[in-house]
Amino acid sequence: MQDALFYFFAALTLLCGLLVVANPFSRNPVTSAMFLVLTLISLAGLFVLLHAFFLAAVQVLVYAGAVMVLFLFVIMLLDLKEEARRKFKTFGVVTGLASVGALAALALKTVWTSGIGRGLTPQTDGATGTLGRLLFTEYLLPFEIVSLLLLVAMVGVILLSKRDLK
Amino acid sequence: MNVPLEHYLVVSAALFCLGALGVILRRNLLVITCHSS
Repeated sequence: MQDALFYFFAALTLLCGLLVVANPFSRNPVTSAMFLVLTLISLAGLFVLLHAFFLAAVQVLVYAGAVMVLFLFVIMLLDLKEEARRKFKTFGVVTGLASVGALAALALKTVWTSGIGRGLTPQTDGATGTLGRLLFTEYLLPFEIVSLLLLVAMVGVILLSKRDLK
Repeated sequence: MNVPLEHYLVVSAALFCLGALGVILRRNLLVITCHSS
């Protein structure tokens, strides 16, 4: 049962992710955003299968809910109806596909040969209390580094959008 | 857990590569913002 659910959600995630990036039927950004919602929800299904219930709930509430509302708001505010029909340069497509394919091959080979994650026991059952305690004791340093990363991203966005500030 | 962890990692690697493909092929800044989240 769990196996079937995993393969269902994995296939749904990858299919919807592909439709976000390259939808053969429409190039409307709103369609991409809708498929992104489906991708995020099926990712939440994968999180549930990994017993990360809190993460799954947050994924649906924050990403599929709040962040996507923000994206749709910006898309409709900018009024990008059809993305401009750029002609793909063959050279760019070929080199892009080749580099991403090489990256994928590298990642897959790493995953298959390293035997990562064998014999690990879960440290938390996905409950909020133990998760928070672990975040503030054992994983305090990565947690703070992530917050620093978010701060850096925010400063970068402000600098990029206020280019004429200096 | 019946499904080995490698399968999850393969799915996540494939999803990452899809996002990278999107960044390379569609250089619309708004779409890239959607992918990178």
